[in-house]
Amino acid sequence: MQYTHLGRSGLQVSRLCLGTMNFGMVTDEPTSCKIMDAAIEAGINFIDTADVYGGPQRPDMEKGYGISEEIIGRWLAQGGRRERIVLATKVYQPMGPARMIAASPRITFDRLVRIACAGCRQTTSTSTRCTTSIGARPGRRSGKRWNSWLSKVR
Amino acid sequence: MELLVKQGKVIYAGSSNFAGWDIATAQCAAASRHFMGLVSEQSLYHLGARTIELEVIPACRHYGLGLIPWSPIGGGLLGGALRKAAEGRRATELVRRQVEQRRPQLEAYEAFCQQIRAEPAVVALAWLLHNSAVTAPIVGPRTAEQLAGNLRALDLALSDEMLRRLDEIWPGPGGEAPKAYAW
Repeated sequence: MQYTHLGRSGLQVSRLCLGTMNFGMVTDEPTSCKIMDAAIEAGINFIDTADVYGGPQRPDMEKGYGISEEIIGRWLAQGGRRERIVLATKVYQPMGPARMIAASPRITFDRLVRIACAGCRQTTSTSTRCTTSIGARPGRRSGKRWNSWLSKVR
Repeated sequence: MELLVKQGKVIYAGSSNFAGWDIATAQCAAASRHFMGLVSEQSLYHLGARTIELEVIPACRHYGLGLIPWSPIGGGLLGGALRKAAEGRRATELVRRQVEQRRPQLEAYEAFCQQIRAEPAVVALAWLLHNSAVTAPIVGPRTAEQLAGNLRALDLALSDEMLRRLDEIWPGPGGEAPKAYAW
């Protein structure tokens, strides 16, 4: 396997990233685990997911759901893996309780991100090397508010 | 995001489907707060979808973001879609439509892959891996066997001549903005 830095970060990632959009939807959990086993065996240390993965997705969906993060979380919990994996997850579509909050025009995107992040840590039960991405442009939901995820989170 | 990093809940922040100017705005806001900002951008990028070469890739390079292409095989379009359709294999509606729209390109592409004795999906991934702006394409195998196929892309070296041929078959936007369209 070849490795490279993820941008200017200190993380060394494999040059193939394992996408898990299908986990829990197209691919069942045992097969998903087999794929992750094969990936780590081949030297892949970079896994990408999102809170909505493993469920249906459309940019205009009002509410998303998925179990890809949960499948990855259970796999990571089997031991000896957490320290080796760089896990990237994403938030954007409203999920569960975050949906109600996002439905309020007064709630900023950074609140959604914080809730989603707390949820991510629960579902994946991991505290190591989590890179969270902001999916799409937050501005879709709240005008120019997308800027606030950097400026207002304290 | 800054708080999440401070609290140790995440180690770095990244973006997905950002425009070039989104990345620039985010990095400027981060810099004004002495925060590292984004370390990566995930974008749609494959031989048949090269629009990000105009604005997003230059922004990633300037701000030092790693680029993580999603849909590197075009949802199956670059995975031998023509041959598979001829064999009667099922495909998504989107891929079927794209196959019809891009039939001449796909014919040339699959013939080229056959000529260099490589699987089309492997060539599509290897093309991305030859781009120094690309950190790691996101592959989405549905089985462990498909993952094994994806891994072969790491061993496929494409010569300058092969890369030129791929550029002919799947032309990009012509470079970066503004020279791609202005002169």
